[in-house]
Amino acid sequence: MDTSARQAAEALDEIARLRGRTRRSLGVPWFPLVCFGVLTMLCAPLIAGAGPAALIPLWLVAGAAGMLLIRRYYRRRGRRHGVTGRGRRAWIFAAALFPVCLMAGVAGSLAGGKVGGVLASIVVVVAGYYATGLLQHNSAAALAVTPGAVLAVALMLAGLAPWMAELTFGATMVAAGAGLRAAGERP
Amino acid sequence: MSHPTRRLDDAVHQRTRLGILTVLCEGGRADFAYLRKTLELTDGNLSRNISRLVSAGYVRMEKVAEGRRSRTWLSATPAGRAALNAEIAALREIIAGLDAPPARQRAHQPLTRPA
Repeated sequence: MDTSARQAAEALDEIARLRGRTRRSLGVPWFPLVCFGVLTMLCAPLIAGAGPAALIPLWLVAGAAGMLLIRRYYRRRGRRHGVTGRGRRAWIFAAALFPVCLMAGVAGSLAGGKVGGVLASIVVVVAGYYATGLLQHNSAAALAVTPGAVLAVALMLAGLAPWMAELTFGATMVAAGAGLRAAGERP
Repeated sequence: MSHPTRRLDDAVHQRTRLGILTVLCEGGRADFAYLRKTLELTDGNLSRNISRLVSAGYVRMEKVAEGRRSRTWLSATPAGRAALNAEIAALREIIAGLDAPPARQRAHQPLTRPA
């Protein structure tokens, strides 16, 4: 290998090493999973009672509070570690996803009752995590939330009550977030 | 088409500046202390290279007061992100040129030196 090609290869190796190190410093996206997992679990009693349409007031208030909490968490984390991620686009995207998720829940419940509402909202949430992962070049949260979504949908299609499927989905999100934190977050 | 080495940007094509830009493009922004620790540099060396990137318009610097101290946050500008992408593309082309058959390699060689 001639000198310029060897230097180019070394430079690309160094870029890859620094990118990996910076990503490790940015940590894993565990907090949104835990936060929204808890909120999803809180939805279960409402679904059991009034149905998915009753979730709109909850998500408008608690969902917005959750977003602000996540923003605050990442700001504090950035100040502590001295590096922040490119979260603005993802945050704006997630905020825009709220009305989509709410509308999907309402449309799903109109089309297929409680099962349709819960199914539609789970699909939108998982799709949103994948889209956010693409924006942030980090699909850890999407991959972590997928098994729980598959389990919740499978249980619901097998005849489990929609509110229990929602509870399962929320609990698996919390567990996935806790697992991500244990696996990859620096103190 | 010019040889890829001709497209290397002097402001970026230097180990320390390439490292600074890589870190800033991977994250949203980083503070001076984080860059110093990650790139294992002295304050003076890091300052000089940041100044070069700032003057090239590739890096934005912001001083924020936190309590009694001020903290310097740095972020890559869109031009900085484009410059890093161009640098990576040029480096890949240099390596790819080595793997190409001899005739193609000759086609990538500059025929004349730039005036």
